[in-house]
Amino acid sequence: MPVKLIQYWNIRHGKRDDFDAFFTQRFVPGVNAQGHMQMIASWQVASGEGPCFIAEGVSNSSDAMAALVMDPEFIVLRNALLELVEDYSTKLLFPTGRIDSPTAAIQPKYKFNRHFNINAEDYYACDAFLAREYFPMMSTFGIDMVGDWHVGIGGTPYAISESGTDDLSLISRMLQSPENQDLTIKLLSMVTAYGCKVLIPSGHMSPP
Amino acid sequence: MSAKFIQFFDVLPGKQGEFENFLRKNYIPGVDETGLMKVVGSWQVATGEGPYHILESLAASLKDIHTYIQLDHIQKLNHLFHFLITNYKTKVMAPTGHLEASIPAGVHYRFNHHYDMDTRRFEDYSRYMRERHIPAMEDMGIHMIGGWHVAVGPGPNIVVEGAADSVETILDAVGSGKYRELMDELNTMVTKFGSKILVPTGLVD
Repeated sequence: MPVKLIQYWNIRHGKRDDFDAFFTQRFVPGVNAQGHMQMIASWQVASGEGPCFIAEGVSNSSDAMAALVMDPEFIVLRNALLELVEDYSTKLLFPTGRIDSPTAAIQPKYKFNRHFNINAEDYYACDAFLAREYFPMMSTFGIDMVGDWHVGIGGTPYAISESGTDDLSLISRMLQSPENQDLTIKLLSMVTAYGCKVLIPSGHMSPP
Repeated sequence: MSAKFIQFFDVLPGKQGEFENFLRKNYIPGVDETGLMKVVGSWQVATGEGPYHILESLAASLKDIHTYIQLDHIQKLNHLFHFLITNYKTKVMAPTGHLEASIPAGVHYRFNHHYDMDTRRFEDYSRYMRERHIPAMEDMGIHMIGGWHVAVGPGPNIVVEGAADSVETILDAVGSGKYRELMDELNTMVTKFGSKILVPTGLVD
């Protein structure tokens, strides 16, 4: 089963250049060389709440991810990263099974992610809504669902629904449409702690 | 000096229709009738954290907002309002002085930044806003319409408001290298940075 590790942070004031060099030349190659996890993308939060930098890696199993976080080489890399960034946090994500979650480095150019907690009493209704209404509606906007996850380890909100496209204007049109507002209002009747983000490539990893 | 009163909330499940009727027919006219404050915007958060609904009102001064809050009529309206909503919070904001506050005419979309400023860098921040941020955002089609600090209410403590004629204009800007350079510079002077895109609900003319 594929799992995803999300790491997010803000770059410390005055450390931007050091961070850029470290992340591209040491962190990403170092993590990839360990073989436990493949770094697949790094993002800047273009609109939404911080932290502003998000790095994504995927593994084929939670065992591989456990091996990564216990690997002394990773701990050295992470400690070096922590000298350059602040507000560091992580989440380990597991697929919900509602859609196929990619394990390879196939990523859209831009992402629109929603995150929320599903009300316990509305779980099955929300499950049906996501599969039967939400995912098809996103598809009508020309936006692909690229992941649907629950947070196995890490802070809430615990549901993360990832969509993406190579054309930013499709996200604009979706956000401006009454259909999206209706869809969101319906989702809000079943969830709490709702938020969403537009992500653009940070420029540190090769564009997809 | 103008002041702004912001109300954030989520509508209770199953109450959306009742909420819209109440807001249109009772709440907004009730606020406007006081003559102390005017509702100038009703927004849904298209990107960013909740609460999902934002009601934006303007007053001539902070004193007018304080008087308004204590009116019996308004307390009754707010009591009724709370039967329809949850996660309610408010902020009163005063101008930072970096921008002349204005409300664009016609349908528009908002792009707001919010953050805490490093007060030790106030002069650098002021210069950055005047010489770099405002001209660059205007160039990208995002009109800078207000710079506020939170006088009363939860942080982050600075809110800078932008307006554009479409969400596409906003996302074109935020996807550009020019915007990234701006954010790199801004983020050396602020913490807890976040942003929101707001779309009009259509409940306020």
